[in-house]
Amino acid sequence: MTAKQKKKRQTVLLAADVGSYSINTVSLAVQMAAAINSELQGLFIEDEDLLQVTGLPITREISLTTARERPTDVDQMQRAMRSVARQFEQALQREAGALQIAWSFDYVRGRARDIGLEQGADVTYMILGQPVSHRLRSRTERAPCKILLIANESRHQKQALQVVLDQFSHEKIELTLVEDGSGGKIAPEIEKLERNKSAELSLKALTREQLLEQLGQLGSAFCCAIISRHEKPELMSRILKTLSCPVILVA
Amino acid sequence: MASKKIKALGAKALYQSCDLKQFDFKTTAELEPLDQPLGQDRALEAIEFGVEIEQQGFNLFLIGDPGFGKHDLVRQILSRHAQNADQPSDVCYVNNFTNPQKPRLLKLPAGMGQQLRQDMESLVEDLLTSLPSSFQSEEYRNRRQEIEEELQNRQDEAFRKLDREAEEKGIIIMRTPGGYTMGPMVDGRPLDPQEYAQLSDREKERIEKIIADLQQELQDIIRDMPLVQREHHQRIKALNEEITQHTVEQLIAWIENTYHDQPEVMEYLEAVQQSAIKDADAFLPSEHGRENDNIASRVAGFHAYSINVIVDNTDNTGAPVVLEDHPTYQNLIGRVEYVSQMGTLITDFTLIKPGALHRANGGYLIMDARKLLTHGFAWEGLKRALKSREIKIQSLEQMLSLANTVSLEPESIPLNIKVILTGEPRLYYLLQALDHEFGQLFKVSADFARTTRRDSKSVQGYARMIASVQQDCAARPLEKSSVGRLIEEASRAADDAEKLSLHLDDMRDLLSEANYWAGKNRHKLIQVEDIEQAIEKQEHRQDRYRELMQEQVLRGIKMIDTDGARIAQVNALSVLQTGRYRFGQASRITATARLGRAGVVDIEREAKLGGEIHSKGVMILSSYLAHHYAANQPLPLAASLAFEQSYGTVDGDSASAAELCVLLSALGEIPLLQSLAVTGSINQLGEVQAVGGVNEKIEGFFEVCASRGLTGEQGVIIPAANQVHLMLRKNVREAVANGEFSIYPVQRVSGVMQLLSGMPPGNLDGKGQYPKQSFNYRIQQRIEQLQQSQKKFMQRASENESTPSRENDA
Repeated sequence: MTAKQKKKRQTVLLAADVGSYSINTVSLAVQMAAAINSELQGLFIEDEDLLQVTGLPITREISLTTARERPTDVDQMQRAMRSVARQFEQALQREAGALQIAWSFDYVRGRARDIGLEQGADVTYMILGQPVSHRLRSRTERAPCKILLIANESRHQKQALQVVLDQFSHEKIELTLVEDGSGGKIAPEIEKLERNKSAELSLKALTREQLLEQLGQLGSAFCCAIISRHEKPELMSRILKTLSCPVILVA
Repeated sequence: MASKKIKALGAKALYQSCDLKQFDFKTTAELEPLDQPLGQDRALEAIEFGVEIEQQGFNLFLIGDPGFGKHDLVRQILSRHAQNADQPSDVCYVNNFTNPQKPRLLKLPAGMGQQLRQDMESLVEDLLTSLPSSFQSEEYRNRRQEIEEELQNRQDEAFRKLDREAEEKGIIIMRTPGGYTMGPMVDGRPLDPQEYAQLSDREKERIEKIIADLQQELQDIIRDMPLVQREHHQRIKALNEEITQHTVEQLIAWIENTYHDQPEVMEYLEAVQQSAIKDADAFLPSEHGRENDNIASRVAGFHAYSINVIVDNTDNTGAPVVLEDHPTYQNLIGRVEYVSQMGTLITDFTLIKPGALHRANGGYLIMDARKLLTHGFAWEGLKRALKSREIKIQSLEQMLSLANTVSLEPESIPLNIKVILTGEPRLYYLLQALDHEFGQLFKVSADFARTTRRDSKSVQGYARMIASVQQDCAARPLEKSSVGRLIEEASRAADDAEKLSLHLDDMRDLLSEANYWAGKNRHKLIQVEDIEQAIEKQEHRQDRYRELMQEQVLRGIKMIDTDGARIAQVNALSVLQTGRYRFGQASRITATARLGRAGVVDIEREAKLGGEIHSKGVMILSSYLAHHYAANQPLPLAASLAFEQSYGTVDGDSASAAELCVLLSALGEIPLLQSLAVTGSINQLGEVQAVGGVNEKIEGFFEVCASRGLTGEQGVIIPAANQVHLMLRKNVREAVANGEFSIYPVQRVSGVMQLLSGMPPGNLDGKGQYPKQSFNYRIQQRIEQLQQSQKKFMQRASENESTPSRENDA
């Protein structure tokens, strides 16, 4: 297989670090790979920033459950990271194996976001695990599942949306659609999807400016976000910093 | 004075035929059935009184043996009274929402129990459909989302604020697997340990202080999270209650329209409302797709809201009349059932089952006293309910303190009932004697007569009773003559020619069998021939043992003489009973007499085979003997009496006349005729008294004589008082009419002795002597001989005692 052929081949990459790994994200990635019949690459990033901070003599860890302070060090943090990486790999094996999807797993060290973006440059879909919300109950039973879709010309967005809607098919879905004219093509496709879906689907339209304004408040409310990898860096950065849900970066 | 000859009875005296001329009908089809039972006026009056009187304790006990129509009569009377009585309420048990262990009682007008049950099922169904709809409404969702977002934003804002503050102060906050950590930042990246080491102590101190402050803030935020969560939960709960309350109130208000005049139900519905609001989640679909389940099957799962209608009087008019055929404690008082769930027995108010007392409450309950008493604790349970005037369902285990498990304590039900017990006389008198509460609780007794007088009025009534039974049995009508024959048989069953048996079951059985034979004989009406055939077949089915006994007599195995004369040997008569079949048989009694002081020894008694009444008879005859023949001198007699070839117990005094005669025969060495048999008891004055079973006894001896060949000498001596009881079978009557067999009625034992010995009794003359030809003379002579022998014996003994012995001389 030539490099060109490899580049063209549809793949799904799931990147996560110790603060952003979750089994739900693995499930979403597996579904995505199954939907496009592609290989799934798992990538666990040992966050060097976190190890660096942990190496400082003044560093303490504050428990999210008890609010208690406890000392920590690099070795302990690395052990914790490897443990999470093992869980990640096992989850991939279990979920992908169940659907007979080819998968691979890598363990790298670096800055989580940079490595993720670098590695995802050649893949069709890159799913970034985001830091899990500090909420004890992120979403109550009857609250709708909110999906953020920042539309552009990408043809893969519809496919990603389809997979996400399938993933949350038993729930009520509120789709926040961000478009400013450049991504107007997606709207008819969404209408088609809405007609075909058995679940209740509601639509909320925002402009990019409105999104930026409300992102602080909405950030932790989303269940999933679909963004083009070619989105403006400023918006991309804000989104990745603010959201606490898996983000699907589409080629 | 010459002895009067004792005359045998004529054939007409042996049977009281029914005069058919008194009937003005041809068949029973023309007769009106009886509307009141024949001959039971006393019982009828008692029942009417007992049923009408309303005071506590005036329950009824119907005294009478089975088969006299007690149940039919009382049910007939009760049905009439029940029609005019108030219809009792429906009784339901419902959940006690504050204490499920103590289910509550609801009393509703008849028919409303089932209606309430259906209404509550509809309510649950409506809640299962309406509540989810309410919770799926746009309004609910928006309000809930508002609450969630408000609280979430509060948390998010706290974190964002902390993030901003940290960033401004050059600190980075990072997620770790277990929480958060913080470190100094330079150029948008964390400071590494080397860089940090190069910082001045003052800078390090500053950074440490900033981090410590930020950590404190972070800890405060995290500590607040459970409180935020709690507030979230409470506000969502309040919202849920508000939504539920609105829906539940509307649905219950609809039901309340039906029951607004039933305060107990209104109170219950209020409790239902509170419970439904509190447990609203139970009505909502779960995440496991319960919303797709069948609503009807889900309704069944809501036990707490169901209604257990334990008494439903919807179809009853008037008061209930309940016959409890199996009065166990639980069938009477009710019970709490259990179901096994995961190996544990559990129960609730829906498993409360009613007893007969519940069903009959407000009306009448009929039970057989014997069955009631033979079922453990049923009698005690009934008495407790009647005394307390309430039904308290309590298991036997609880009552006896044998169970420690938690069970239900259903609310007691006020009891207003009339209990009617039926039982045989012995049972009634035993209860009266042994249970002091019985008299307080069963103050009215209705004593059913076994027989009624046989006069023209009662015979007419009896004919109508036969017609009633014939119609009940759907049998062929009876000819007039058949009615007459049945009446005669009723007298025979009564053991009295002047009475009629009121045993309805026997009459019904005989009539049914006669109807059967009429069918076999192709008769359209039941004829006398059919009745005779029925009687004969009934007897034949039951008389195997009688035949066996008679065969033993005829083969000489059981020794009974029916001709000749023997000293110290007489034929007595007794009655044996196998089931309901009775028959007579002859028994040989023998006696011995010699000098002595022992008096009359009853061998049966010595062998412990004699009953108390029999012993009494022997003592009476001993007394008669001493008084009559040795009033002024001692009677030096040692005599013994025995029933020969008798291997069972002997009781009754009907053989005492025969025993006296055989004793006199032994004493006076007077031969007695074996062609005669004797029955009758005697008193101390020598009078012969009436005995039972006289017809069977005569027929028993007749059968033996007839089998051997009637000689014309054979017969039976009976007490004169028993003449009115004679209802002998046709073959006996015919033999008597032909002079082949005789029945002698006697009034005194001297008459019996005269017939048996063929000697006159004789009367005392002025010197205190009997005539030489009389049997009394023979006895007097023998007693004088015994007295002289005794005197000589005593004299010799006295002389022996006064002569010094050789040993003493020496």
